[in-house]
Amino acid sequence: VTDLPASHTTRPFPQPLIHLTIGSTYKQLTLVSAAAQPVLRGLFADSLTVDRVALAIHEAVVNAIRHGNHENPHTIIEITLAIEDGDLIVRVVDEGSGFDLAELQDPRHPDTLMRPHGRGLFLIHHAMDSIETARTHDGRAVLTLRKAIPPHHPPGRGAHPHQGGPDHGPALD
Amino acid sequence: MAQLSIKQDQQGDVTILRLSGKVTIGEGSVQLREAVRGLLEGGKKNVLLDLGDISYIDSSGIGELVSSYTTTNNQGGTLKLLNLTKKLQDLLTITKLLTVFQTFDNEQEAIDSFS
Repeated sequence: VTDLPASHTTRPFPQPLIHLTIGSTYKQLTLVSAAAQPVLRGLFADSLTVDRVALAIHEAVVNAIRHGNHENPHTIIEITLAIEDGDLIVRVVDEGSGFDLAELQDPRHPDTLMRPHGRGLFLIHHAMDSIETARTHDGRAVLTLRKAIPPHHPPGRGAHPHQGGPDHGPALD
Repeated sequence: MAQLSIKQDQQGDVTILRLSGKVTIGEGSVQLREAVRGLLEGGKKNVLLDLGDISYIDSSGIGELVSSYTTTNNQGGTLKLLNLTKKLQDLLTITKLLTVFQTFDNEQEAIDSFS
């Protein structure tokens, strides 16, 4: 996990549009998608962007289930969508030890092109403006994705109101 | 209920698998793998995947397309794609896999390409 500047890790997370807590099973992906899709359609006018960002969220949760929580159904994952400074922020928290973004390989390279795995993080990278990794104060792994919302489509328009309880997700160190 | 349904259609030497639904981790990916391997084990080596009714595909599903392509090639067969959705075309472009697969919009042209 990359160490982030203190300003990144201590900043309070903005009021969430969605905050979900799910068990680490792939069946939960349908629930995540059903919750995220209306929000994304409210934020991004372009359907291709909606599809790409929805897939990025899906892949982030798959990564958390598979590599973070090792498909242990007794572990949990928290997913939060929020808006901050005109950006959509997606945060996925799992119980794993995190990973190093620097180890991400380009699946388009001739040496990796025909591999059956290794495209999830790449698709997240492609869809979003930035990816950061961090840890919560209790040691859980945090993946934060950020995507600028086009100015002609005002933040929050058509988005679902707060759905997941009063907390803003776990505090970061 | 399964997230992916696969119907098999034989057109001469070409076997068409018509996929409908999701090809994602934990569900459709495994079904696709088993369907293609079943064809190869049965000696059917000209495989055309009709993806026009795919509603959703993730990186695992994309990986399974690659894996099916490789497995088919390794057994002396050929696997081609028919009716890519806009979403799938986008993903195959992003991942540069459009350079790997032979793709068709017209079924008869796809079938004829095997001969």
